[in-house]
Amino acid sequence: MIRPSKLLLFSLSCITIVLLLHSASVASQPVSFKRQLSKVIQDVQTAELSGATPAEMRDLAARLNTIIGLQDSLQNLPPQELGERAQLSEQINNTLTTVDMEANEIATIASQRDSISHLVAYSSGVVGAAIATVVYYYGTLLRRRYRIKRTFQMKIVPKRTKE
Amino acid sequence: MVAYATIVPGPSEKFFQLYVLGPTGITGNYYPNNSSNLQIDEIAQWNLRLVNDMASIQYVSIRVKLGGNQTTDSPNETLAQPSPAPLITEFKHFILDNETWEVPIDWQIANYTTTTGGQVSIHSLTIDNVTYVLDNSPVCSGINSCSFRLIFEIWTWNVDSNNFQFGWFDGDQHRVAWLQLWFTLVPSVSQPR
Repeated sequence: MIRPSKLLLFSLSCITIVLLLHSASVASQPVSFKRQLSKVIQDVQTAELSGATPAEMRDLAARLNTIIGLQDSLQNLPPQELGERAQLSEQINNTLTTVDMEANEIATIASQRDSISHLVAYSSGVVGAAIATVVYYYGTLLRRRYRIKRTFQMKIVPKRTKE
Repeated sequence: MVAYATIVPGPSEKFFQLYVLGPTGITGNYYPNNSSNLQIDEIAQWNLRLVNDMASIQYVSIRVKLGGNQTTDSPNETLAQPSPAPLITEFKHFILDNETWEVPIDWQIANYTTTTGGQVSIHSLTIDNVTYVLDNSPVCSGINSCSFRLIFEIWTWNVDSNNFQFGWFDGDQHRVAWLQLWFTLVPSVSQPR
């Protein structure tokens, strides 16, 4: 049979372990947060370089700015508010993960969009150059024909001299 | 060639612009009664503006510091070192390329202390209704010549060091931007608290 004192000791130990683990996860948040934040910023910048639209970038920036507000709230919370701290940390991590995923998706879509627009631009450049060549060729040809025609239409007129 | 030139932008300089406007959105009227002599609880209204010309989204922090009249209190632009003056607060924001971030600041001297030797230091400042008690606040020799300054520095997030750095990098060039506004603390009718 288990004694009540042993049961109480066991319960207290469990609570202590849970609290220690919890506080450790909260305390270690800044380092991992900073690393994760850097990765998200890099991914958002990649999305921007890939050709994300201003509206897409505004949305990502707005979400990132909410993280600053959450981070400030977390820092202003007293250490004993473990529950709320954990909740805010989770919210920050979730927002970072969501922004990262969206940034990666946007980067993929934007790079495809960008490739198509590059292809269109280069193709239009090639087509434009071909049209310009044809126009120049026929223009030169017409001019040459016109000059030949003018040459054959010329009449030799004797020069009049004053008497 | 024309298509390539249209698609690929040429290299451009990357920089930030930082400036302060008065309450009416112009470069003036920075202080109440148009005088930089401030008494306790006199509110100065400023509009900080930061323009991002870095060609990408940036995570920035504007750090607000209280400097005295020592030249060593200024940031060192040559060595790209920030001001050693005590930090009051910072404003952080993700700012888009070509975006102007506006930070309205209402601030006032909340309290100052005078030592028996006559030295004066600002004990606390209130910015946007939050009072900041300052440690290692700069001192001035006497209340009759008590010039201080608020220093604003741009810090940017460095993804390699996972931290904020003073200024930013444009290629290999470490660049910094900061500004300061001077004010003079004048004794009020009531004694310092």
